[in-house]
Amino acid sequence: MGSPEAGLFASKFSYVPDNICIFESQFIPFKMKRLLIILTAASFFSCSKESDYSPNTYSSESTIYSDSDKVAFRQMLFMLSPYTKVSGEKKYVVAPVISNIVVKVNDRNWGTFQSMQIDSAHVAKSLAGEYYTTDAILKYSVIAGFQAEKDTLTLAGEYADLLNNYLTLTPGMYIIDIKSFDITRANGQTETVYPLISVPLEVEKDVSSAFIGEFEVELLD
Amino acid sequence: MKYILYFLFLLLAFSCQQYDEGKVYIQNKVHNVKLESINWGDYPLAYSLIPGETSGVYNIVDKEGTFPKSYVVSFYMVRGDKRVYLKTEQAYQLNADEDLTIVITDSTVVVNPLLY
Repeated sequence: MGSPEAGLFASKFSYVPDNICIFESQFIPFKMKRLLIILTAASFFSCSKESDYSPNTYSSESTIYSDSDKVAFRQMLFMLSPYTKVSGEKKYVVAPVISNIVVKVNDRNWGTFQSMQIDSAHVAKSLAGEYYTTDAILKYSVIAGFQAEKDTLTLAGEYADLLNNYLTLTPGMYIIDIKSFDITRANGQTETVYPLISVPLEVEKDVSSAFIGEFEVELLD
Repeated sequence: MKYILYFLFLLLAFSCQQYDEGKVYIQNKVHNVKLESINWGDYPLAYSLIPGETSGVYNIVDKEGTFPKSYVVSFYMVRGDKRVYLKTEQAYQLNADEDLTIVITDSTVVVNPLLY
């Protein structure tokens, strides 16, 4: 059982059942006990400045990156068939590849692309004007996924542009412009062609890509 | 009993070392993106800031002699469900008893650790 003094002490600070004796000693006077309690408490609480509460603290582990399950529009596909006319007849240009295909969406840069390669060594071709050509339709397939304008981003604003432009084709109507492309002549020189292709594209919900068409482009001498 | 008191007084005297203090704020001035989980070194300055928003004050109290503190800022740049983890190239220095306001703008040079 606790002494009457201990009972008095307990009643001042907190409820302590009678049969529990706290800080009781026959050798320490009651006033001293209180002093010891105060000093002990002071030593615990007086130097706790470093753990000040901040409304902005958080656990970094709680921020875990998770990708969205939503289907986003990622790429458009199209085919280019450049040709030249010989005596009024279409002759399709044979080149290993069409490069530097500049694509814009709603007049904003979507990217610069290269067509899939054609094995031109196995195409029956003849020289027509400045190009190797063939009578059969030759289609250069292009897969155009969004590209950042710069390969190496260094500024916060550039990353913001990337996030703002990346995969932003939400459902709706857009105008796709194929502004220009480069094609190689028979002499190995590269010519830039401006095909003036402009087509509407309707992006539907939960669609990740769209075929926007096959385009024949006449190359003028 | 005296010895216990002496001990406690000594404990009190030596446990209360001198502390220095500094305050840090951070502002998002990058267009059209949120900055999330913004840390200055290991100090979490803000959970999320929309463009133009400034964080509340973050008090840094540390033992005397540990200032100045200089760290880079790391954060997630977020737009919709897309995010990229970035660190500033520059380290920002906080001196004792000073306020440091870090402003992340479009022209702040950043690095993506994935690319290095």
